Amino acid sequence: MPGPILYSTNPWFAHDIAVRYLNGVHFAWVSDHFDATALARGTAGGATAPSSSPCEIYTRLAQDVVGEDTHSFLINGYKKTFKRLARAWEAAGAISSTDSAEIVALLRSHSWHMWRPVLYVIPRSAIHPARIHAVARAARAAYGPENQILDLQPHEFDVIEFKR
Amino acid sequence: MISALAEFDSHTAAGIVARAALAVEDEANPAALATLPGEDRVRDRLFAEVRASLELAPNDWSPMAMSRIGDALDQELDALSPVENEQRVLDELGKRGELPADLYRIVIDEGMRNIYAKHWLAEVDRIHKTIKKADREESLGLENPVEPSLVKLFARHYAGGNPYHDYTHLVVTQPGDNRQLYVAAAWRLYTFSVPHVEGASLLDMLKRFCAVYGVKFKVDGIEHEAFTLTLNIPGEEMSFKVEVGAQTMTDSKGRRVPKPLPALSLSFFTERGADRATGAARSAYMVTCINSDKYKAALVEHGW
Repeated sequence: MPGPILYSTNPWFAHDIAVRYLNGVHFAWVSDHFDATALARGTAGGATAPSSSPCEIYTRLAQDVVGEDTHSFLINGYKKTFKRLARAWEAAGAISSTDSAEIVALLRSHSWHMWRPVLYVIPRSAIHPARIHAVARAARAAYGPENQILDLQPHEFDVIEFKR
Repeated sequence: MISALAEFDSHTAAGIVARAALAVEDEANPAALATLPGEDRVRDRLFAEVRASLELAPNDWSPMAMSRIGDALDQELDALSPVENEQRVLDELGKRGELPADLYRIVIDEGMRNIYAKHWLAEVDRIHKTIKKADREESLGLENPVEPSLVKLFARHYAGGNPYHDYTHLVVTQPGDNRQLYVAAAWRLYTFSVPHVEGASLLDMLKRFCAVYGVKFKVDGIEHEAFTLTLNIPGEEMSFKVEVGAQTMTDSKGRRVPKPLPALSLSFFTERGADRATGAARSAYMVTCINSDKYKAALVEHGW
């Protein structure tokens, strides 16, 4: 039975982009469990890949930011993704060329602060079940279930950040 | 230029390449879906051309191959839609107060030395830490749903062995030109001295601090209790007269005489902008006036 809360770890910059350029609409990979390693082996949630676990992502990203790890797989991946997204949004008319240039300029800057992790805490009751999309096995990192919400609104979740 | 994109203008081509690059990375990303008629065929030709240029086999779907294809598409994307003068873009963001905190050059008002004296260097370090590792940030100013730039507040809680000496460090700054963040004030809100700061907004924290340590002042004849924030003033003319003091006391001979002023820390922030809907000029200001002697006494009480 699904739990009452969905969790999603993202870099702070993802949240900032959604608020600043996308009218607050957030895209999020979400999980029923914050820490898959705390679940019993053999359960579906326990089979979630570490790279898809909100707890693992939060921990790893926080370490990379504190350590200013220029080889961070997560941060370098985010940089590529957001640059591609900025150009795709600009082409689709969702953002202006100025907005796109700002996003790209920030991606190329030396800020570590913008990559610090934040956790979205989403009460499941606030989201209609049809808006929670199950990701097909081929696109998941492991057997455990993974879901997406394409249009999370600011009033539907809380953003928390653990003290550094 | 990749020949598969030759028939498209650079704007459209950039969109095709961006969506293709997103598909290479993650097919499940909705932003990767082809949107133009026939885009799937263009994408196939695009991939074939990139594979050929990288000397990758048509059936090589290894992570390394996909990574190289993605990087090649990113290079094409940069060529199709370059950012002109990134530094100027960042400067503009800085002026608006919209840069990440660690991209600003922190400039601290030397007048604060009078308060922190021999602890000045330690306080400078603390200011840098609070800004760069803030628990919370908040911006105030003209009506701007994204990021007002009259004042940026940063707060971080510092706890030690004795809860009586725990405090929230509140740094009051204003973003300026050349990505400078001007620090006008930095205050320690000791939990037992400034009540109810937990859970309060940073603006409320500042008001509560002013309520404990502030002095009255007048702006253009209107009296304020240690703090005022005035937004959306029509026009951009800002010429204010700030008066502090003018209190009296009774001396030993029963005469009414002017009351000596304590050392004061007066901060005055202004912002000019335009109404987002009409473009009409608007301005804003914030003023705080703190009794430095009273605040320094609190610092001494807490171990300074």
